[in-house]
Amino acid sequence: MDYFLQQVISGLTNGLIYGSLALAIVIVYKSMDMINFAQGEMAMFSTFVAFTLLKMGVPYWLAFSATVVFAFFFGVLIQTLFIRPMQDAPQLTVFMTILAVFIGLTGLATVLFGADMYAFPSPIKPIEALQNKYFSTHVVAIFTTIILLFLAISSFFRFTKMGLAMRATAMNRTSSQLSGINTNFIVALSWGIASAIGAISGMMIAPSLFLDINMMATLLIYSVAGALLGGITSPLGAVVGGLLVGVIENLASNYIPFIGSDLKLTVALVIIVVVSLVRPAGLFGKHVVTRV
Amino acid sequence: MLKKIITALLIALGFLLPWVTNSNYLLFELTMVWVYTVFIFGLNLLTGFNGQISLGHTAFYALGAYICAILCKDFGLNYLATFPIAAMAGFFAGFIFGYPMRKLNFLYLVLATLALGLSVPQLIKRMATWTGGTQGIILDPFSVPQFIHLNWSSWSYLYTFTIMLFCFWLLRNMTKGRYGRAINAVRDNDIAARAMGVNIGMTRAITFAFSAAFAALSGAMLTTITQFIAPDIFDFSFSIFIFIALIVGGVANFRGAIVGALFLQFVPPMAAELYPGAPMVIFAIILLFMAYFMPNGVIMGARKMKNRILEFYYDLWYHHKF
Repeated sequence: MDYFLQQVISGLTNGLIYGSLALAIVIVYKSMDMINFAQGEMAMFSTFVAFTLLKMGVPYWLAFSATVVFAFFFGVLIQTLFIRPMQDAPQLTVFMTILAVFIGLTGLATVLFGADMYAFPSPIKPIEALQNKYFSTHVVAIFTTIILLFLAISSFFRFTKMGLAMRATAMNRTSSQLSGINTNFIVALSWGIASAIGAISGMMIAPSLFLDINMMATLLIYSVAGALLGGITSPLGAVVGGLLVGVIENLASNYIPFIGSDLKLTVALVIIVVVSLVRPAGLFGKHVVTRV
Repeated sequence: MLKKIITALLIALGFLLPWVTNSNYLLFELTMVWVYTVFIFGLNLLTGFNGQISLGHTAFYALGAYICAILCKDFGLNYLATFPIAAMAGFFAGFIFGYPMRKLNFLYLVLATLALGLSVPQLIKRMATWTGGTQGIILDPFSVPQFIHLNWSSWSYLYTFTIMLFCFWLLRNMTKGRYGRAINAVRDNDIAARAMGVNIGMTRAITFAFSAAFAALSGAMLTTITQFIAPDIFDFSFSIFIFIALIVGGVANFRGAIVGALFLQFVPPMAAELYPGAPMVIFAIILLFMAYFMPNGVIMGARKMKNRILEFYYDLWYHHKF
């Protein structure tokens, strides 16, 4: 039982990271009906920027904030340069562009930062009261950050005028344009926000993994599985789905010998297929009816 | 008519090439091109004609390759006899994978197949009892049938070329009949297709199975040529490369598959030479270029360009318009 609990909690820890990346994916999805498959690589790139800043001797929190700002503009830039011209292109062409961003960033990171693995520092000093056999202070810190991030994003969507504009754009681009919303700006903004969230989750997971260029490739699949499970249009769903995927993945790899640690990806695969077949709208999503 | 004559001449040239050149290396490279072409044929059928997508067909490619290797090594089968078995196994595996995927929309299909593509090397290593794990399988050199007086490179070139042509012919016919119209209808408007009595789910699953069969056949051909296979051949970067090759050739263009295969064989080494740090950056640029200027592949892109140039001169000549 003790072992089981430990596994659940370690699954929840992974799940938080999946949840935060899933949040980023949901934000982009809501703005343009497309999963940003390069989200993970963008996060990886930003994390490397943070790493470079830290190596130059910049204090942690300054580097952290600078990276978040960088990631925001980086996301806006990528959207404006590569994705916007593709706005009305078929899905396959948009996917080609995103795949190009994906492999381009991997390549660029190899050139700029090298293909080695690096240890990434954690700013959190262990606090005695929060340190026990189930979780560490770092986990508590991640948990708090994600909850805060989620609350901030939800209230942004719910209570600000910009958030309303974003929701409107997601729902109907043409109508929003007619009511005076600058939809191009809104979509770019959502890419920026998503990229900043990705950077935060990248910087939070890097201390527990090692930082390398392939860090995010499999993470992305779990995150999207989480987003899908929670309902790809719902920010709350993304976080909950991410947590669930983390737990399921960890339990499956520990209790089903065939899966082990090598075939964990199959778990994500099964989740994706089962959700798409049984409940395509996910746990919290709304079922969308299309007009013929 | 002219087109038919040119095609016939090209095919004749293709068959006569082993007697024209005496470079075994060139023959080997072209042999690989025919192997990749068969793989891309399958993806063409899947993506171009049926509107599905797969980044995980490397799994079926690996399946075919390992089936061929195991049948030759442990069961002593003739390598040519393994081709139909590999293709059939690919078909069944594709159906088993494709049937639950039949309702997935484009994005989720990308994801599901991405997960499959990423886990191929691990899957192979996990089944080490059959696949030899990380070491891979090394086969004894194959021999040319006795009644044919050719060296191995010429012979392997000839049978891969023949299989490639056979697949081309098969696909041409497949995409013309009822099945061809059905898969096109499913791609363009699935609701209308259903109204016309097409079983959408089954059509998608069968198309997935057919494309997996081509991938498996191509994998088996690969084994007979390299006579050595290891999990690293089937890693994720290969899945990406083959997808880029598909895009370069054009998704709904079987002749483009040859262009894509030529690209796959000759461009990656060039890119690695041009920019040793990160050939991936070059591929990203190529992919972006394709997405912006030739989303339907080089052949269609060139055709469009030709028409535009002709139009320009036509306007210039008859209307004096610039």
